[in-house]
Amino acid sequence: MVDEIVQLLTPDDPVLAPAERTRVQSSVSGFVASQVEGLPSFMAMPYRLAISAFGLMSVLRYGRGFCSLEDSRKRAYLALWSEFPIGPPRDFVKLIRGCALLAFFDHPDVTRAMLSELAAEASPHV
Amino acid sequence: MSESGEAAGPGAGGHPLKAQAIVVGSGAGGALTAAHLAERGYDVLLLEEGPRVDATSIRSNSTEAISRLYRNGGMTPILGNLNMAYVEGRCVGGSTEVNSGFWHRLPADSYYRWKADYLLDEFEPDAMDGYFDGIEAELSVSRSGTDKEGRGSAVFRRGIEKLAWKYEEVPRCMKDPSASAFSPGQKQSMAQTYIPRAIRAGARLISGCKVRRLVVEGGRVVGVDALLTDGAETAEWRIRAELVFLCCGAVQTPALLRRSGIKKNVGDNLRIHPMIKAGALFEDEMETRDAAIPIYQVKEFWPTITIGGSVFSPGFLAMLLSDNWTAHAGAMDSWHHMGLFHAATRGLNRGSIRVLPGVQDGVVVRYRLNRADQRNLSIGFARLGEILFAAGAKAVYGSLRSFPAFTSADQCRSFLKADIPLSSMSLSTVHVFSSCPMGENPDLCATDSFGRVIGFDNLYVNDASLLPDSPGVNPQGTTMAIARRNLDYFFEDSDRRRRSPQRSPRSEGRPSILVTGATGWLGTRLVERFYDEEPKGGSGRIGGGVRCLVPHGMDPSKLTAVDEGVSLTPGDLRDLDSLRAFCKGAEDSTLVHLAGVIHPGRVAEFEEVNVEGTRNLLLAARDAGVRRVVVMSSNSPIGCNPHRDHLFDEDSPYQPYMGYGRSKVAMEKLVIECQAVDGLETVIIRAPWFYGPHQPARQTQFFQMIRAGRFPILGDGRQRRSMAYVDNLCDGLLLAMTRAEAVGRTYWIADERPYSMNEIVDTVEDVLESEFGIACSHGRMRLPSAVGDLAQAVDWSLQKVGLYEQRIHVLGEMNKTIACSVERAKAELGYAPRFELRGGMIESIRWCLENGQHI
Ligand SMILES: Cc1cc2nc3c(=O)[nH]c(=O)nc-3n(C[C@H](O)[C@H](O)[C@H](O)COP(=O)(O)OP(=O)(O)OC[C@H]3O[C@@H](n4cnc5c(N)ncnc54)[C@H](O)[C@@H]3O)c2cc1C
Repeated sequence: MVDEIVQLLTPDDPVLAPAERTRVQSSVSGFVASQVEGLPSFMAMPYRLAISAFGLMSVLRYGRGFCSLEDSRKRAYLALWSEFPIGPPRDFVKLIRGCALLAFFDHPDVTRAMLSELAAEASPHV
Repeated sequence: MSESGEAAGPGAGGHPLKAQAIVVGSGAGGALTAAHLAERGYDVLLLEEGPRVDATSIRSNSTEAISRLYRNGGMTPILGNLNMAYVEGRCVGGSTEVNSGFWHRLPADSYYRWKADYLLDEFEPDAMDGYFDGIEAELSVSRSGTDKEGRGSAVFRRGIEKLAWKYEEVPRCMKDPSASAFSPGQKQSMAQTYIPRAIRAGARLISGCKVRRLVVEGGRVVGVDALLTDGAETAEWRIRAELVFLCCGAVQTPALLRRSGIKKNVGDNLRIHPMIKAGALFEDEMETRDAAIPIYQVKEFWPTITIGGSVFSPGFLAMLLSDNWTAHAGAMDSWHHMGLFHAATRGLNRGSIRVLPGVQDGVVVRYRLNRADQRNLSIGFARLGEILFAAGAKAVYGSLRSFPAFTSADQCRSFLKADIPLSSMSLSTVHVFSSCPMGENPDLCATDSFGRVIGFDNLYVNDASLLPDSPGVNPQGTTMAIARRNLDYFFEDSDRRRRSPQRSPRSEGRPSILVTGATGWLGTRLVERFYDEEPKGGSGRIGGGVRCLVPHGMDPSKLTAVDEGVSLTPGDLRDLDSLRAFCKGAEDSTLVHLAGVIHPGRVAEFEEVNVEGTRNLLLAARDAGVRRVVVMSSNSPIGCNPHRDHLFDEDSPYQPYMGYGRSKVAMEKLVIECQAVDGLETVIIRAPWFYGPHQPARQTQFFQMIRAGRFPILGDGRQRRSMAYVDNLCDGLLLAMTRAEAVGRTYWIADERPYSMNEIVDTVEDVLESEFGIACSHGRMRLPSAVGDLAQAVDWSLQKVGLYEQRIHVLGEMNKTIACSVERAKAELGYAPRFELRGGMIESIRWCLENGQHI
């Protein structure tokens, strides 16, 4: 499930070759998973519970698990959690989103792509 | 040991089971401690939980580094009214491997504040400057100067200068201070400096070795239990040592102490610098690709608020924007025009560190932001915004949930008037300290003024935990200079101990006097009096020495300072085995039993300590052949006088006042029974409210309240109280220990006559003004007598459900007369009270002032 969320959270820009994107996605998912694992034990458990609640509420709301929702629904559902009026659901998404974005933009392949985009902008006729 | 000085892991078969000194943690405090100890010739084992990482193989801000070098992969939350992200290093070199290398000396104001509030001894700027000089040379601390400043620094400086605010370039511990802290090998972290130095001097380093618990035997730390991880292999080790230095950082040091059962003032005083961040978009390209960091800090709002730059990487920027990702994701397109900055405040609340029993790594860090913190962070953000717009920012993105990007300084300035809601703030911190403050203030400090843990003579803390309070600046410099200072004191103290003759072996063997409660103020004074009155070199009453029972967590240093003949036995009245050890070999001695609970945490402690504890003690004393037991009781078994002119004598019937009084009745009955059944010589001393030198800090409040005109006088204030000046009481105890007539008797010991409440307050006021020139407000908090009765009723109800509230209890007694006659002691023992109220109060107040207590 975390993989699915991560996939949804990683931006489309900069453009990466499909193989590169797969590599980056898997590295980002690995990082996020390791961060959740790294949480102090007394927080890792509530976090796992939150992941289960995330899945369960999707079933209650849409009659289907999060992973089998279409992308637009997934996005709407995620937005609902990130804007929840109480803190814990928001914090749940915030942590995954923060880690995913950090890992994505600091990934060497992504940095390289961003730099080549810059270079291309600087010399548009090449 | 490998070539790098690293000791062999379990897989390699090596097993260093012993060391003279163990240093736990290899960060700023630990690396320096290990190096200096090793250079002094100590056999040092440096134990580090994290891995050893080659600085040239990894950029310390990469995600790989975050996973490998940071505790919990960078995921340690601080819980509170808003959860805060906190990171610390967990690798060889500790947080110095992941920090930005900014260097500050301790600002002057902290010296005076810390000395006043924490009663910190020998903490002088001149001496500390010497330590800073030495460390700065070792770490190449220097400034780069404006000519070498990076683009981010230049833009930031432009904004500050436009506003004409004070700022400074902060020196850094870098080979090239203008370089990124993350350029491999640039920063002079511990792995580059003190750790190699320690290893060159013979220290052994074991990485992957987490100390789980201290091993305490007979009141000394004798080693540590550690878990060694080498790849997939783990092994549990017990490593023995003569000395243990804890340098695990401000979160893990108190956690380790608490896990080991050492809790006095440990983890109760955590201070932090909460930080709010902002990303700013500029017209200019920022050249921030190399994880550069602006080198200036704004001092205009210091010490409350510091504003500066933060490390930049596209990932860190994205993380900041993630608070409002849907709205702000587009800003990533201009990432090369952006910089990251922060405003930090000196947190004004105190947080805590606790460990969850039975939960591995269950360390809970708590800090609640108070209103002042919220205000200061709001102001900090507003001021940061002003600088960034003055520097030419086109937009500012805060680490604030549900806020749009700011496009003008005025928008940011709105936070000067209205606070940013807590629910919107995304905060983080990398500066934590003060969780085991050093000093002599018994209500706040976990160690003495030089890092020795209270109650132990071979256990030290030497890291950021010791800083008594926030230094208001980046803390690594202060942490290291204090660690260096404490080591100097440790070396001098060890030399002193080596030179001074060994303690008399007699005191270890067969004591003449045993004392419980000796670490308390009456006990300390009594032990002093034994030696004041002993003819020098004589083999009189204390020929065999004085042995004191020292409960866990109590500081016995005042006792050992009295004389070499004072020996200590760790123990607790609730632990019969420890009492047997305490009484061992004490045949024919005299036992003075002063220990007891007056103001308990739980009402049940009255029974556990005062009754069952005394029962245990009498049993141990009887079995060891102790000759006489003098037991300290109180006025509480007899309660309150029926009218103001009445005086209790030794024949007055029991009428116990609440739980404490009942426990003392039960205790007195046990003592009487023990004389009758076991044949021990016993004497019971009943003392009322006592006063005098060595009084605890809470008693000083009594003087402070009188001075401020806030002391409550209930009714007309003519109710009377007997009081016992501490030396009068010691006179009575000394007579009870020696006079044959005392055996089997009970005595009231107090000043010659009782005093009315009005007289007590008037006398203190007069002494403060006429003897010490301290002006008093001459006010009284006058309350109806019924307030005392009401407080008594509340106290009674609370105690019924097992609760106890000291202030309510004391208030409940304030409208009562509690007065006794000392005629029996005068007639039978020759007791002659030497001090009356005025003389006694002069001595008490003088002692308070001489010992740094503020009235
Ligand atoms: C990201 C970041 C940036 C910072 N920037 C600056 C800055 O620019 N300037 C500045 O002055 N300060 C800065 N600081 C703070 C500074 O680094 C710390 O205040 C300082 O390092 C504290 O030193 P210490 O010895 O108390 O703890 P640490 O340096 O954290 O060392 C503690 C060590 O003990 C080890 N340990 C803990 N528990 C155990 C155990 N049970 N068994 C074995 N080992 C254990 C840890 O793994 C760690 O290596 C920063 C901190 C961070 C995290």
